[in-house]
Parts: sequence; structure tokens; C-alpha cells
Amino acid sequence: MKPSYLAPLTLEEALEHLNRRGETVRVLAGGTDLMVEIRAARLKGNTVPPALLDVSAIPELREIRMEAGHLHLGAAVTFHTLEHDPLIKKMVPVLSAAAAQMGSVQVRRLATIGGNVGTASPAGDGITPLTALDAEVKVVSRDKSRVLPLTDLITGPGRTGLAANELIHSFSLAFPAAPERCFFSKIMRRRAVAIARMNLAVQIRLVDSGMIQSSRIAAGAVFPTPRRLMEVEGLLIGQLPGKELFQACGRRAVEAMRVVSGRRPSMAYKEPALERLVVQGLEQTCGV
Amino acid sequence: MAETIDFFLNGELVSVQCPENETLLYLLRERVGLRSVKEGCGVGECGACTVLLEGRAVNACLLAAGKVRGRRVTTIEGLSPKGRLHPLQEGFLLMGAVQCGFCTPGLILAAHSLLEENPHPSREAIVQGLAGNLCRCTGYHDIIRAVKWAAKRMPERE
Ligand SMILES: Cc1cc2nc3c(=O)[nH]c(=O)nc-3n(C[C@H](O)[C@H](O)[C@H](O)COP(=O)(O)OP(=O)(O)OC[C@H]3O[C@@H](n4cnc5c(N)ncnc54)[C@H](O)[C@@H]3O)c2cc1C
Ligand code: FES
Ligand code: FES
Repeated sequence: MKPSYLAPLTLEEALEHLNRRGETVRVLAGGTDLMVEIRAARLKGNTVPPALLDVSAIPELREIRMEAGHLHLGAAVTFHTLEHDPLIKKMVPVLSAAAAQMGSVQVRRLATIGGNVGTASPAGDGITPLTALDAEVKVVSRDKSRVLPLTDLITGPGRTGLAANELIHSFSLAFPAAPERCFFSKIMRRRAVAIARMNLAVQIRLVDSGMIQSSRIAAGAVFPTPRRLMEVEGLLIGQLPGKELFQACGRRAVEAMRVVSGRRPSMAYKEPALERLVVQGLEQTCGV
Repeated sequence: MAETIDFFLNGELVSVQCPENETLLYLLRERVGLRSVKEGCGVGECGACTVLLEGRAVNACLLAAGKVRGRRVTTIEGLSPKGRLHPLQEGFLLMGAVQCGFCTPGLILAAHSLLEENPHPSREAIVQGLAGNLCRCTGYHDIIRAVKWAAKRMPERE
């Protein structure tokens, strides 16, 4: 009998399993999405994955370190760690802020950043800040590894370009040279423990004169695949923060959503929601 | 044939036959027979199935059974090993934080995990720490009082 659960302690071993049994083995990290999916399949009488490959204990996938101006984040780093790790809080506070608002304490202890990307939910609370920060993702298989922009790995709602023998290894993000202000918020059904319908990550640098020097903004569940809101970022550069400017940004975000995503029934709800979220996000980030 | 999973349950080494791709909730309820671990939603949203893994609260319904191999799991029974109530249990009783009791084991374990990390939590920290646990009866006010009450008495036990 083949085992239904494998928990290799090295990356090599994990990749070897995936290479041999990639079609039948499902990668398991925290399980906060996958175990729910398996439960649903069992209840419906559908087949469940014959084996789970638990990668959450592989040390290499749990690493957090700085290298050459970049933050290296292993795929199996949990949201609890993202929320509390001093290095992450200091260097990429928008990611800690997002993590702190994700799920419940119990869920955050299990859920990983790699699993968030693996699930590729349009409003994944890890995906939106990583998108704002232009994260690159390293994907490995037994025979090769490749590095690509995160936004290229996610190909649609719930879809990634991962091959059956590939594993998400880590993320790499450039962190700001000087302190920046940040904001993360989401719109959801219930206060805790709900999956966002839309979320927004903002990181802005103000210079001493009060002018906006740089900005990074991404919104989840707004475009078919994650992408920065460059249209809005462009409006902000070189400007002084102000209510009118931010309102124009809100309208610009809605326009961008219309152009990129086309008109859909959900827009009636999404347009005012996005506009409000952008205005609120910018006001709070800049303290207007 | 089911796999055998060896782990520490409430301080004792146990050996349980259970498929490793099942949930810890299934293992504890159906294979060990521990009914104090409640199944509410089954999908991570209600916290009724909360147990401690290495002392920290997790949802047993989300945890693959294989993950507990060789590790320490604590259920509510583990908080009062010699039949003496834990301050959290006393606090919940005294403050009237138990009505139907369905949410209680999970809430007390979530509170235990919170107090381990933050021995003197503010009201806001308690609300945050227990946000993953739903209670349909009490309205949370008495639960928060119970946790505060227990927080003051925890060191006495040490
Ligand atoms: C109650 C509850 C609340 C939640 N709240 C939120 C929320 O607020 N925001 C939010 O964004 N999400 C939320 N989620 C969803 C979920 O917790 C996240 O998507 C989480 O990040 C998934 O990570 P995981 O480690 O648990 O993934 P798993 O369930 O282990 O895996 C998820 C998917 O990714 C794949 N995968 C995992 N790791 C890798 C890897 N290294 N390489 C390749 N593939 C991999 C798996 O095969 C699977 O398809 C919630 C879930 C629950 C149950
Ligand atoms: S039964 Fe596990 S959280 Fe509801
Ligand atoms: S006491 Fe009934 S659900 Fe909490």
C-alpha cells in the first residue's frame, strides 16, 4: 500500500516524490484550504487526493532572510510569522498588516504564504501585498528552478502556472530604502475569519516637504489576475496628499477596473466599494 | 489498513490507527473517542474544534492527522489533569461564560494559548485572540470577563 501522507524533511526528497508521483500527490502546507477542499470532496462522494505531500516542515521553505536589498521569504512561512516577525514588520509592514487581518489566530498559525499563492484566490490576503511589492517567486522541480514575477505565476482565479512536479520555493521582494507608510484593508462579510471580497495594499513614501515620492498600490479581486494599480500610482507621484487628489484616485481605480476587467454583474457592487477603499486607503496612509 | 500515528495526547504517548490524510478532528473524535473536541462547521470558521498543538491553538478540523506524529496535542481534559479545574475553567464557570457549552472547550483552549503568549492581555487582545471562536449563546461579554479573571490567577498555579 502506498502511504496517503508523506512528510519529507528535505527539499530534495520532496521534489523526488513530486517528480515520480506529481499527478497523484497533492502538496500540503498548512492545509487550511486543502483540508477544506478534501472534506467537501468526501461529503460529495468525490475522489480525494490519494496522497498528501506535506512540505510545511522543510527547513529551507521556512527561511526568512535579507540578501542584497531583498527579503527572501520561504513558501512555508506562516501568516502568524508574517504578522509577528520583527524583520518583516520593519521591512515590509504592509505584509504584516495584511497577515494580521487574515483569518483567525488558529488559521494564521497553520496557513502559509505559499499556500495562499497556490490557492490563487482573487482576494488572497498574501497575494495583494506581494503584488504591490513586485514580488518574484522561485519555483523548483527536481531538474530545474525558475524565477518569475508572482503576477505571471497566477494565471486566473484559482489557477496557477505550476506544473505537477513543481513546488513554490520562496518569494523575493525588494524592500524600501527609507521608511514608507503603508495600509492594508479588506471588505468582507464578517469581521474575522472571512475571506475577503476585495482588498487593498498601499505603500507610499512622502518626502520631507510632504510630497508623494513613490507609491505602490495593489487591489485584490479587481482584475482577472493580480496587478498593481499603476493608473492610480501615476496620479500620485510628485503631488501633495489631499482629499481631491484621493477622490480622483478612487475614480481612476474604477476606470482601470472597467477597462481591464470589462463590465460584469458584480461591478454594481464592486465599483463603489473599490472607490471607497482607495480613498480611505490613501487618506489613512498619508494621514489626511 | 489504517496507518498508526504515535503522538502525545494530554501528556501521554498514544498510538492511534487512523488514515494520516484524515483530520485531527476525526482522529480525536472517531478514533480516540474524545467528544470534548466539538465539530461545529468542520471548515475552520467556528473554533469549536480548537485544540493545542505544542501549546498553541489550532483548528483540529483543518489539521491533517499525519501532522501530529511525534508532537504534543492538548484537549480540554489536559488542562485539569488531577481533576483540579484550571483557572480558565473556574473563571468560565464563575462568570457565567458557559451556557450550552458547545463552544466552551475550544474557547478555553484558545484563551489558554492566548495567555501563554500574552499573560496580561488587554480587552482588545482578548477579542482578537478569540475572534476565531464563535459562541451563539453568551454574547462574549462574560467570556472576556472570565479570561481576565483567569489571567490574574494564572501565576498562582506555577
Ligand atoms: C476559516 C478560514 C479563514 C480564512 N481566511 C482567509 C483570509 O482572511 N484571507 C485569505 O487570503 N485566505 C483565507 N483563508 C484561506 C487560506 O487560509 C489561505 O489561502 C492560506 O494561505 C492557505 O495556505 P495553506 O498553507 O493552509 O495552504 P494549503 O491548504 O496547504 O494549500 C493550498 C493550495 O496550495 C498548494 N500549495 C501549498 N503550498 C505549496 C507550495 N509550496 N508549492 C506549491 N503548491 C503549494 C496546495 O497544493 C493547495 O492547492 C481562510 C481559510 C479558512 C479555513
Ligand atoms: S469545527 Fe473546526 S473550526 Fe468549526
Ligand atoms: S455557550 Fe452555547 S455556543 Fe457558547
